[in-house]
Amino acid sequence: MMITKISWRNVWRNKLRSGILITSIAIGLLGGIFTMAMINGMMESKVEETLITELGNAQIHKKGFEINNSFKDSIPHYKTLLPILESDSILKNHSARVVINGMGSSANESQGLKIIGIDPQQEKKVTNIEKFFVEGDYFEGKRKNQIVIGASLAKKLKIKIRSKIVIAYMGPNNDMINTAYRVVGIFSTSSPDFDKSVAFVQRKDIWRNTGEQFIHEIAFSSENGGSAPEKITQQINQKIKDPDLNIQTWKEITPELATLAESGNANSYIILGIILFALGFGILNSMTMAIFERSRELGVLMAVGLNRGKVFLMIVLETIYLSMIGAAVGGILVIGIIQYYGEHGLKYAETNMGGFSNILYPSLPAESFIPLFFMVLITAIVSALPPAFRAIKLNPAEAVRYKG
Amino acid sequence: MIEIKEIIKTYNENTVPVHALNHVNLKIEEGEFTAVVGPSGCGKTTFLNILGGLDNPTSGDILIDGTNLHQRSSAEMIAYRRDNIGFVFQDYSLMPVLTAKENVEFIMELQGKSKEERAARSKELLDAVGIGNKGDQFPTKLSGGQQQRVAVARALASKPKLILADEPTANLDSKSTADLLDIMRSLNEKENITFVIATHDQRVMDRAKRVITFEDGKIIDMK
Repeated sequence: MMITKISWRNVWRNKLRSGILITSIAIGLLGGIFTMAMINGMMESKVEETLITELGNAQIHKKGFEINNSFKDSIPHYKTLLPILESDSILKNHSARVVINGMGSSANESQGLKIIGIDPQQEKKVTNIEKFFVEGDYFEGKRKNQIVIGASLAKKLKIKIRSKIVIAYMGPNNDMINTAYRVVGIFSTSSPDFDKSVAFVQRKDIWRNTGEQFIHEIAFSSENGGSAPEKITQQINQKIKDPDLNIQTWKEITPELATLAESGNANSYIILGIILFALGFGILNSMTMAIFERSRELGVLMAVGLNRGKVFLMIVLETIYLSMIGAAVGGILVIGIIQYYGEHGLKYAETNMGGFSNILYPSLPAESFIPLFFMVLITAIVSALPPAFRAIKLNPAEAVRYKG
Repeated sequence: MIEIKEIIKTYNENTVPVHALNHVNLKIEEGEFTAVVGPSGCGKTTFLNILGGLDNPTSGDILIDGTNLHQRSSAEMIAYRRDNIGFVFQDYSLMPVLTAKENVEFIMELQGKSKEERAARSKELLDAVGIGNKGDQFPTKLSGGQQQRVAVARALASKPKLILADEPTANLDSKSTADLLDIMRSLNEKENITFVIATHDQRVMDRAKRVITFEDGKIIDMK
């Protein structure tokens, strides 16, 4: 096809102009895509952190627990459930927890707390709070009544490692239970609220202190469970048919987090759309200039028999080539930059802000490049339309006399 | 045979009318080698444009083998030009991004000719105009005379019955002009192709079978 050959070679006729345009497209896309990757990375980090600190990918509760958080809303027959879960390859990574609301007090201050009672070895299959430890260890000692707290709580209560903290909560028989725990680990996530309001203790200590064994929550994790937690809940529903249980994905438990992640994507595309809109005008300007300069040449082509459809195609193809070269250059550069900062992190502030980490790990799934490709293609085609229409409106008799 | 009947071409009809062609009547027989001469602005180029279907007359008819040229639709006219008329322009007007060979093959590709047919014909034509060894050169690497030879070869690619040349020798030196005229006359005589050449060049007039002189849009002399 000679038309494609002409379009391709036309791209390189004015190397300076094409170079500037390709560079603009490449830089514009690099900026846009990197912004997308930063927003995406920020959201992914936030989601991942929430999932690996407490939430897991899916959870089971007794229906009503999410409203009352009551001792009485413990999961019935959990001792028969756990072996079923243990035997399933997808569900075996689970952690059965006690969840109670109480008060943590030091000699100086008090703070309302969500106390999560766990089996540390089981919990490691689901979450990884250890990753955020700034001091101490994760229940490695054999002493009773150990507690892991957040840095914000430690700061508020003015306590440190090996300090004592009294945990008070309403027991199963509506009696007040006060137990002194010793701080063995302190974690610091990007969320000061989480750090201040959540504490981990060993499940067996709560059982001993209350005199009863019960479970309020079973949290699950699996490979790809963050992006597709529905597979876990489907599997649970297949294995356990109990209408009294509430089986939810993390997206159902914290819809605001799921919405945040999705809105991040939408915002990214809006930003990129604005960049492409601006680039479109650059492409349009450049191509209009090119058509203006080549009026005589186009007139000659039409004179010798090139029909208007092919003239139109020739200009649209040239614009697509230019845009795609710019997109490829920008794409390759941005992939390299995303990979580099994805590994090394990009520190954009001295401290965590608003529940987000101060170190960003940009990331963009490969499938995100498919809509990007089409966005660039559409921008190229739309930008090519005015100059292409201008070209086909040329009168060959006048155009061949054009002196440029 | 081409029969031109009462052709009028008026520009700026609604403001200050300019009569580029004024009641032009002419017959051009097949195989003619005709020079159209006259001062600048006399209507030579307008005449060639209308004869080649690039422009429409304000009134009048052009009959080619009995068919009215300007009763075709725009798409039909493009196809007609492609298959029946060859154009040679003063400044060669080759596609700078195509080699000499590709410039010649371009119209044949538009005609849907096969790759082998295009290659054979372009070689034959470039050999005929004496630059068979320059087929892979881009126009910018060729001299003016060589570029105009490529332009002639391109004009001949579709095997047209009529070649319209607008000042084809204006940018050429004496030797290139003489060579080009030899080529054109040879094609005219061997293949019976009709040539209509708008020119100021006395050397072209000397080689023409007929010289038509325009002035103020009218034919004032025919020899």
